[in-house]
Amino acid sequence: MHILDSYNMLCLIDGKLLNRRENYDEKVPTELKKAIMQARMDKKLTQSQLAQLINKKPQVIQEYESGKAILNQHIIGKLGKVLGAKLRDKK
Amino acid sequence: DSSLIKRTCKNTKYYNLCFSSLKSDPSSPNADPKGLAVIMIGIGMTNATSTSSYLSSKLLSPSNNTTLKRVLKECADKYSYAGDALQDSVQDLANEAYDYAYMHITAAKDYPNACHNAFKRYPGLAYPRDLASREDGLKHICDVAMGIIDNLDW
Repeated sequence: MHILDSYNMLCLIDGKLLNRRENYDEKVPTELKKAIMQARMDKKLTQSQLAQLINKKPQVIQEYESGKAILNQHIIGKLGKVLGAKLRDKK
Repeated sequence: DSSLIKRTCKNTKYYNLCFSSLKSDPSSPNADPKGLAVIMIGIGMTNATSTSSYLSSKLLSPSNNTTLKRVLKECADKYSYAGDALQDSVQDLANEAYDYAYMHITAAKDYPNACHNAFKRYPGLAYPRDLASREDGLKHICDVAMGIIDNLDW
């Protein structure tokens, strides 16, 4: 499975998880942080460059890739778009 | 002609909210389904921004409760982020990235939860009833927008 497929899958999973109240403060899962790092490196971007592309501070990328960040679907969406992840075909 | 609005709203969770909101917008008679989604998202943006401003105004009230002020600031930020997420979804729709549009609305819908959760961290803080009402309002608007997008051809 390509790394982005894994990322797509995790995005969907996260989307569902985030609809459950008890997961509001869930940390970034290991698979997702690895997927983000791998996708970033595949595009030859530094953390600072990726952060700039989503209009966030480099610290945000650092926290996501280190697993310290609290899951935020908005950030995940921005990252997904920049990294070229296609979430899913609805039909 | 309200037939398109009626058909569109039938596929959403809150028909009455959907119909009354879209019907009241002057551009809705000429809108296609995607345009109706944009209108609804715009209503959500206004709602989120209004709540953020409302919360910010509460910060100006005299109070010695520093915890409450900190949480109110956090909530004002969350609703502002909700507005940002909805703005992103409009851009996504323009680019026909319907999956991301849906995701960003889901994100916008989650920010009020984050605000509510902030209050829960401090048992001594009561979650304001009017804020609970605003929370539900924004969530319902997001649900309607998501319902419309879910039925676009993608």
